[in-house]
Amino acid sequence: MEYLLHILILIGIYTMVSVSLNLIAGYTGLISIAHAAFYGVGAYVAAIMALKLQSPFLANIICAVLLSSLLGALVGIPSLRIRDDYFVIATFAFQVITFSILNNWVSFTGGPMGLPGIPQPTILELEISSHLGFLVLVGMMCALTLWISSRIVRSPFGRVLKAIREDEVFTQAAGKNIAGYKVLVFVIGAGMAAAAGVMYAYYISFIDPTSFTVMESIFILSIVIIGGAGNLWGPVAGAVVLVLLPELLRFIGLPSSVAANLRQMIYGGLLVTFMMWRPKGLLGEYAFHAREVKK
Amino acid sequence: MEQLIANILFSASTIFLVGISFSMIFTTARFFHFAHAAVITSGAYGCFAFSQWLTLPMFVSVALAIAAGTGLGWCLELAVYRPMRRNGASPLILLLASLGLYIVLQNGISMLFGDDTKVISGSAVAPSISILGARITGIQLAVMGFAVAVFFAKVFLVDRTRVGLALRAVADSPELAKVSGIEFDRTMGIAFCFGSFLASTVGLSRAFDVGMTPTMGLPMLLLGVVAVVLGGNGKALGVAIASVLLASFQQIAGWQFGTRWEETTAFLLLLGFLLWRPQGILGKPLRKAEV
Repeated sequence: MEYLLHILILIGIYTMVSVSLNLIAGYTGLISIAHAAFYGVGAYVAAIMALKLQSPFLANIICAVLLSSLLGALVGIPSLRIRDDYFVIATFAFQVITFSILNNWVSFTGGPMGLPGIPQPTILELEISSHLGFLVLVGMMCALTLWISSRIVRSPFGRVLKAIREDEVFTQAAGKNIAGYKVLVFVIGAGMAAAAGVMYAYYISFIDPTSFTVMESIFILSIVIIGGAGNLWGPVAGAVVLVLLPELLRFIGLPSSVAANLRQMIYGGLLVTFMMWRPKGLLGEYAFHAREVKK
Repeated sequence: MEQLIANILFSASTIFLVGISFSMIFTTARFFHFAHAAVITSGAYGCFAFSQWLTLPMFVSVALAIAAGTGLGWCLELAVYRPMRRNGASPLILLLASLGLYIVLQNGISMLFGDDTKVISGSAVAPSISILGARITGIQLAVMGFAVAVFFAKVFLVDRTRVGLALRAVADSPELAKVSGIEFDRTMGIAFCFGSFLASTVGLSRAFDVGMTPTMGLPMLLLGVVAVVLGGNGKALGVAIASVLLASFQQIAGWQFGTRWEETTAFLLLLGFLLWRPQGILGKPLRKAEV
């Protein structure tokens, strides 16, 4: 039962983080490999505040979201000047730099040793300590994320995002401030990812930089793309599939060292397979098609 | 000081070789071939398997490992990228697929060989020789020599031969190249073979120098990519200048702040360039509508 709840909580956290990436990658068409960085910054801000200042859960989550949003703005800015492959490289650079700071700034982040002993969250005098309690909390956060996301994509703001994805130059010609929109979607996405990071930090109660590597970013991107980019429910489907599928390996009884590699091979393989035969993903509406280009 | 310069030159040679190997593919196929990192690693592990498991003589293992690495790159093109291109996949889709390929290959290597650092034992650890007060090992010297050779070979190959002409034609305009009777797929295959050949050679030399891990390819590839972006247009000269610049930055940062910040410095430099001079050192600016 604990195990089942654990899986559901993980699905919830990954749903949150991939819903936020879906806004950036799926709706706006900006592929970013920096999402584990936002997620990680959220987790670290909350963990450091909880451990060093003993501040309450709600204050931590707000600070984590704000700080990560700020970083999101910073990552969004290069998207104004560079695009496609080069933008992917730029987000990659942010990811590597963030990881390296988490890993090397030992006095502040604990470095490779991580931060152990994050306390249980307390919301309005209510301490959440059981798996079930966490599941309810994550479920609520997840619902909130999905609700915000659905409001965004159905709003005029969301329509402009899709327009940028389909034809940036045309959108600009229609008088839209695409720079503002791009930075804003990064701010929103990074903030939502940070909230997921906070949930992760409190749930596992121990964080170290290896949870926020480039590989994790690629995993989150895979969830969005396999689930279906540009569809509200795509990331949910992706998170369910990509979290559940490797769990099945447990029941075959493979040694854990092999299972870890196999887990990654499964999602890598799925990514290739989907790109070859169904680039839209399971529920997708957008397939990163080539823009009408003339060189 | 002499040692610092020697380190910079060696590190620049490695970056340059990876950069050229990547840009051979990047300029021709026009998508970001992430799985190239696994090709780099495969050269090293190929040699390990041939020399340690099959106990073949060293020079045979080296030759077979490079052939295997080249073959791997070519197979990826044949089995994955080519069918995808025929289906009209965009560069971003190819990029995502290559990410998946990288993950599969890297974990495959981890599973076969384990995650610990492997060294090729039996490779005569060349005693370091002293040149102008700097200590350099034989393998480092060989890498530098190879980098210089590749620099001239690349200039000659691309500017003077029919194959080079075909490569440039496909890079400039795939449609026009096709109607001019250039065999598109064959040219693409050649680009992948050359790139993978160089990549597995660099991976192999790294294995001889400091040993190998399954994940070593990605940081190496990324530095190479940084050099290509900084260099501008994938021309050998641009990549060479950028490699030296990058290596100096890195080594000096490593010397001043400790080696753990080397990677951070390289990527800060990359971000700086992407923001203020996205066309690189020698490149021409492109307007948005043209890209």
